[in-house]
Amino acid sequence: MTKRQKGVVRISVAAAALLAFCQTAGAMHIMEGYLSPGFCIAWGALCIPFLVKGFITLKEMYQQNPKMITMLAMAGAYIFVLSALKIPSVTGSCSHMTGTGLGAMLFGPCVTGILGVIVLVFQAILLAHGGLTTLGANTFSMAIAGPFVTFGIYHLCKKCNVNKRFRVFLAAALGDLFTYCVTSLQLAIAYPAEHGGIETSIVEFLGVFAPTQLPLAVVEGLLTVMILITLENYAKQELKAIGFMKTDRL
Amino acid sequence: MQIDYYAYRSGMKKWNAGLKVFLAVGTLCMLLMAGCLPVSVIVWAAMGMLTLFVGKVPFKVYLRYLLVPLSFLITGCIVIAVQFSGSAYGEWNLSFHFFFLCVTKSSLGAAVRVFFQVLAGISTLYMLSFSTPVSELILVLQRLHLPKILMELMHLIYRYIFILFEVVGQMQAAAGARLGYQGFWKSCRTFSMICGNLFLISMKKANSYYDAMLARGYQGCLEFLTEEKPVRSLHIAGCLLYFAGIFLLTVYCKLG
Repeated sequence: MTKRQKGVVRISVAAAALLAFCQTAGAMHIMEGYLSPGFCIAWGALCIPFLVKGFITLKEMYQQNPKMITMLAMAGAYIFVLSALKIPSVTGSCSHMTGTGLGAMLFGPCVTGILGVIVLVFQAILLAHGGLTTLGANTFSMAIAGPFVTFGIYHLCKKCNVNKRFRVFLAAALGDLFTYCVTSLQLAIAYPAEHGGIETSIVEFLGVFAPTQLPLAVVEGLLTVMILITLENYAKQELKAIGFMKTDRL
Repeated sequence: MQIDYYAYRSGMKKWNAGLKVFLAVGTLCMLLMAGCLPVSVIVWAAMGMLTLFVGKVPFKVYLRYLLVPLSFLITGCIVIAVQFSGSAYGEWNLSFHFFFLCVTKSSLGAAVRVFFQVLAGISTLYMLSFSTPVSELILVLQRLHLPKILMELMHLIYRYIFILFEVVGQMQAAAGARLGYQGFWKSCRTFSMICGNLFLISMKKANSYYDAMLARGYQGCLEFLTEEKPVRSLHIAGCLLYFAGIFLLTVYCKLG
């Protein structure tokens, strides 16, 4: 090989390593500055009804029992820490859980929405994941769409008497997948292909992120089941206190 | 979490927090409205220099944080640049028999524009987060009259994050010392047990913290002693000059 060819090979290996192995395959936070102003405002506006509902629920909980304030704050901190922990992975890439799926099952989707916004603000400021202008879009995909789907599937499966562990797995994994689909849709709408428009670009975005996001959804589902089993064994009283055990037993 | 550490010892710590938020949000709005390459590059350079030279953040640390969103950014820009089509078009295309990967001049231009816009956006966000501790940011939000209960939640969550991180660190060290991370399945089991125990501990702590707050006279409202940082006219003049410069450049780009 000539010197130049060697250089090209080195660069390509470095690029492959950067793109494939160092991928922080966390939940797909859309970066600061990626969306145009119209989309920033539109996605933010779409979140408002959910957040208002969440805020009212939160306030009611607080008025009924002021002790809830530290409980809710701990829940928020728990979701944040959960989403910042590196999960075990096969490929050696550094991936994170969304955390909001588990939050939705434990605390309900409305409260998770409000806690999710706060967590996303902190993630942007403290961990440099996501951004302020893209907060609306990220909130919609991660703190609203994902948790609502998780919660919906969880209760639908409960009505259909699906095995409890499989139910948790299904809800967490599909919630995660839905978050990934919504994010891809958000990216595709913002940057439609010149030929073929949004449909083409959504296929592209889904395809590009599939290799990291599909295994991640499965792993997140498995981990959520394992976490809930641990909780059932060791934290029955605490689960009762937040109203999880009353309605459901894993 | 290093960002928080640098925010407390930033050279811009004495600046008024409201002004920094105004500068960051104003820059982000102008950046997105302009959407042209020269503005993005100027904003990137200006905000980067502000963080590095005035904020005195070490260059290596800053560079490492700039690389955080890079893999996602590169993937996102490649998708914008390379289009997927059934027929060949554009300046460059690659045939895969069933479909073509095409790159047109305009799509490549859009990708480059987005790339620099994101870099500028990220450096603006870092200017804010590397110079302003979260507690000060929450106080700025409080002045904007956001609901009080939300602000209290933010304050408490911010404090609890560090407590939980410490607990997680101890648990991970303990698990590692007992060979809890040997192989994928064992790591999964350890991870889930740590998460489960963390939940247990966090709920227990929540109870005792509430009692502690009550013992210190908590009556539904958290009060913090804050340090007044007056806005200096020099900073305002600098801000306005900078905004005027960006505005003129935007107008020039749009007309030219």
